[in-house]
Amino acid sequence: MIDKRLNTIQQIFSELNGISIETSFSSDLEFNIVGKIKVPVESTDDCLFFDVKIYPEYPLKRMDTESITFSNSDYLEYGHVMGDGSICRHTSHQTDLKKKIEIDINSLKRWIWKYYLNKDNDKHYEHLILQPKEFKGNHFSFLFTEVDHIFSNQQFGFFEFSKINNGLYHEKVIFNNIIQEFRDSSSKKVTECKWSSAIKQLSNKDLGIYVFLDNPPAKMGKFIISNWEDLEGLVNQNLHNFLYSVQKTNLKLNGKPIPFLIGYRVSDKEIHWQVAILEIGKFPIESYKEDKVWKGGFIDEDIVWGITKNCSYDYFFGRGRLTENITKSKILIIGIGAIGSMVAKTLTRCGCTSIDVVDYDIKEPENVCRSEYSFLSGICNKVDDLSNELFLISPFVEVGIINPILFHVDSKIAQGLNSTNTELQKKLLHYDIIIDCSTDNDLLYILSKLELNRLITLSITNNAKDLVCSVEPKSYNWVMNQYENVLENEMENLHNPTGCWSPTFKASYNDINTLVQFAIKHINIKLSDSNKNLRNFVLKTNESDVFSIKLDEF
Amino acid sequence: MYRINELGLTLEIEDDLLCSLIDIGIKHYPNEFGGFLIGNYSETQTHLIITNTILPNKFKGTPYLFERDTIGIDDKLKQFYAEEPKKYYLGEWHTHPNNLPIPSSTDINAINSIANHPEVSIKNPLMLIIGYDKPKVELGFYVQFKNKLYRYE
Amino acid sequence: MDKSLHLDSVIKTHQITKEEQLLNKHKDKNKEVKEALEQKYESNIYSPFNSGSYAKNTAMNTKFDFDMVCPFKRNAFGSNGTLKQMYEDVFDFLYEKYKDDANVRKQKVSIGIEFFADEDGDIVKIDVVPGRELNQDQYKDDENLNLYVYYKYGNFDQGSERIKTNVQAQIKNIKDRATKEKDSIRKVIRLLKVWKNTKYNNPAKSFFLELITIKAFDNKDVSGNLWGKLETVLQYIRDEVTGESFTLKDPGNGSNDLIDTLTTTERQTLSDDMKNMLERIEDNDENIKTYFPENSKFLEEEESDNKYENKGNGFYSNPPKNERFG
Repeated sequence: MIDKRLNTIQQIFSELNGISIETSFSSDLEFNIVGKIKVPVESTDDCLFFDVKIYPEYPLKRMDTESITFSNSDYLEYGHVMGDGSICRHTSHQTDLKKKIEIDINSLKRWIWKYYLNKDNDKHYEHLILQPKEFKGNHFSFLFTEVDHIFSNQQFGFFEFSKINNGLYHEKVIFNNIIQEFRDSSSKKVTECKWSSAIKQLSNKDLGIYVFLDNPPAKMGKFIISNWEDLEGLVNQNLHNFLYSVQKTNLKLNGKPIPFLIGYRVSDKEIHWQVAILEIGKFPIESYKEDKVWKGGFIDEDIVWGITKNCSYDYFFGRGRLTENITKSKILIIGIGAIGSMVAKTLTRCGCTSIDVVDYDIKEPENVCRSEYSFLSGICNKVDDLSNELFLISPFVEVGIINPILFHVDSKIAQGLNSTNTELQKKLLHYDIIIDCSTDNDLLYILSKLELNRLITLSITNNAKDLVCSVEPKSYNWVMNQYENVLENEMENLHNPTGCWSPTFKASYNDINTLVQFAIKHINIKLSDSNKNLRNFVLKTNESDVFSIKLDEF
Repeated sequence: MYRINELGLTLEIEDDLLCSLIDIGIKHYPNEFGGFLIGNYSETQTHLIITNTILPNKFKGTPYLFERDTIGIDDKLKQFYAEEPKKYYLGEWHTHPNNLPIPSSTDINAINSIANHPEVSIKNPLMLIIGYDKPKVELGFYVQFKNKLYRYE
Repeated sequence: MDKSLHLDSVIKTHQITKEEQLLNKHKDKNKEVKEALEQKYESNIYSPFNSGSYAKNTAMNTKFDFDMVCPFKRNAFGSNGTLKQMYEDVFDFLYEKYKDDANVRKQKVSIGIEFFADEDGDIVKIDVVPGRELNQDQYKDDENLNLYVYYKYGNFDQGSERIKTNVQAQIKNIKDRATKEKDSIRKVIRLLKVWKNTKYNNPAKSFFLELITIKAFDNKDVSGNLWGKLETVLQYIRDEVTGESFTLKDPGNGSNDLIDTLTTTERQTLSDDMKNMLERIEDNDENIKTYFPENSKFLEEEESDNKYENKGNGFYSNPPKNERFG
């Protein structure tokens, strides 16, 4: 079998136009087929040579990487060449061996033309290429955001980080950490990462050290340096003194890993941090006497690079979020049962950062199946449980819990005593958007009378047949008319658990969330265009043929 | 006095008349029985007084059905109309032996048909149901108003 | 449900006479403002007059449109005086006079005076529209006025001095039609105003709705019961208002086009609103109740007006011949 495959590949390569086989293909111990080809560069006399390695998966992909590599470490200086000298390409799916080889050779020729011949440099910044290494068998990661501070060249000091969950990184353990703030060498705070207050309050804190450089610690512009000696020319003696004293004052902690951040500017607006893991007691430094002065220097030792990630808001939500008209709003969600918790989670995942919630209800295990709560947090206040769920998702969301008793006093008791809700109105004007998911008609009646920035109400009929969403001011009558006169809301077939005095509608997580997401999408489209007017609407489902949702705008 | 709060309409019936209606009705036990209600409206037309009844000359009564004819009542109606103040045909009454004074679907059809009958000039015909189940008598006064039947309290 | 019956009730519960007390308060304040302006500007001003819906017979009781047009003489603010000077001067005067009693603010072409709620909780609001005759003493002959546009008004730019109009002719045109065709045009106009009030910040001016209703009646066979008529007008607006060549001539100045008071997207929104409304009412009659709500304040009163009624020829009649009871 292997021989047959080898022969086929050899045959195909030999028949290809514009290349020739330099070293015949053979099979290695891991069943890869290896060889060397020669590719003449069009309109020049140059020829390029590439080691070719074809993995057994070929022409299928290997996980998410190509299963054929063309490499030559002589070309490291050119764009899109990886550290091992392999050319970085992405090709399309093809199951036919011959066609796939043709595609791959063409993409190799495209690389030659674009990056070898024309020395093209892509406009967008490519991070330095590095392969994270283990420290004593473990991986380390450090997550950070942009900061409101401009670091200067050679600036150094301590940084504070919080340890979060450990996990597995392929077969190894990974220790995950969040960078909190940067301090100078005398431990005075310089700046902090822009996390939510919940992240900033994480305990389990520890210190590391950092240095900031104006230029990336790179070789050939794209590979991170691999030996401590390579750093020597980029830093000055102050840093060495600092490293020396840090190690000396922490002698008790011998053997403990300590992260060393190396920061650098990647654009006018952005800096990046890489992390090297040092071991206290074994810092890669030495001191020597020069002209009667003690000096520090790095020793010849490989750097153990860890993993870092810029989690700034724009990266974190870079793959998709709602319109700024929503994400930048101060939002209040009233009622966080099935609908309210889905709305809250969706808004959080879609980039909202200011969400207050109010609900007096307790989360019970039977709530879990159709809302955004988890079983393992047991029986507890819905507001506390949901705010924890939201903190787990977004490091930028600020969740405020509104006291339900005060809210009740301001709304219903004030209404009963003096028929006004001026206090409530004043408080609610703090919000840009109020989303009422409480299905509380009394409350809707009160809210409808107030002048609010934007009030949205969401509710569904039994079996999630319809979703009623009011978005226009003073919509109490409209909502009531939908339920009382327009929609069929079959009330006989409600879910009545044993001994329960408050029956609830029947519908699954899937039933409800289908409509909630549809509604949010519609609202998002309308609010993202100032020429569009958001109007009350009803979503009507139809299951008679294929399932469909119709949006009736009012 | 009986009233419908929702509409702000009231009616009254003289005790003697009411007692005699009950008496006559019960005499036909176990069959249903009934007749025509006569009376007049207040000047504001928000109040009415039932003053008399006309009993049908021809009728059919069973325990669950009462059907009356209007043969021979013309003269009596004219006489009432000639009185001062003028008295009119206001509606109908009938009994529900061994039962509550709740309108049956036949009753609702009948009151609808009366309200919409082209020869009938009143828009809001009355219906009195005398429900009795020894020894209790319960009265149900109803009026047809804008295609809906309202009960007086 | 009977849509026309409902619409009749909407009109009944919105009749301005139902708010007599508030109406009288408006009339009193109106008189007061008028006299103050006359006293202040003496011979530089012609007699201010009412131009709002009350003057045009199309008012309703949930929103009193009390607009007062103040016709100034050409040289009232100097022979080189600008319309902006006129507007600012009137604003300054009204602001100084009423700042302790009312919110006085600059609006599109008018100055709004919203008096603070009185002991009954009633709020009186009067819009003062300053206008200036085109040439000295010409107003007596042609009644034409130039208005100042304080901030962007549809396609009229902020600060432009483009709006020339004859307000008297505007009023007369609408009042004539609304009065003559009171069961059709006037009712439809009132219903559209009720609808307009259900929409937050609806950019369509009452004057616009009045004119477009009249135009619909002139161009379409608007007939049938009240719902039938309203439906035809709604369809007309839906189909025509976005048309590029659609115009709405100002009866006070044929070269003013009222369609210019709406931007292109506002016209589209108006058309969409009509489309949605027609579709939803077609889906279910009950939806008409929220597009055209009754004024609940007077609904109870309506109900206490209930009477035992006859069909128009007195109460006397015979019972139907055979009736069965069960």
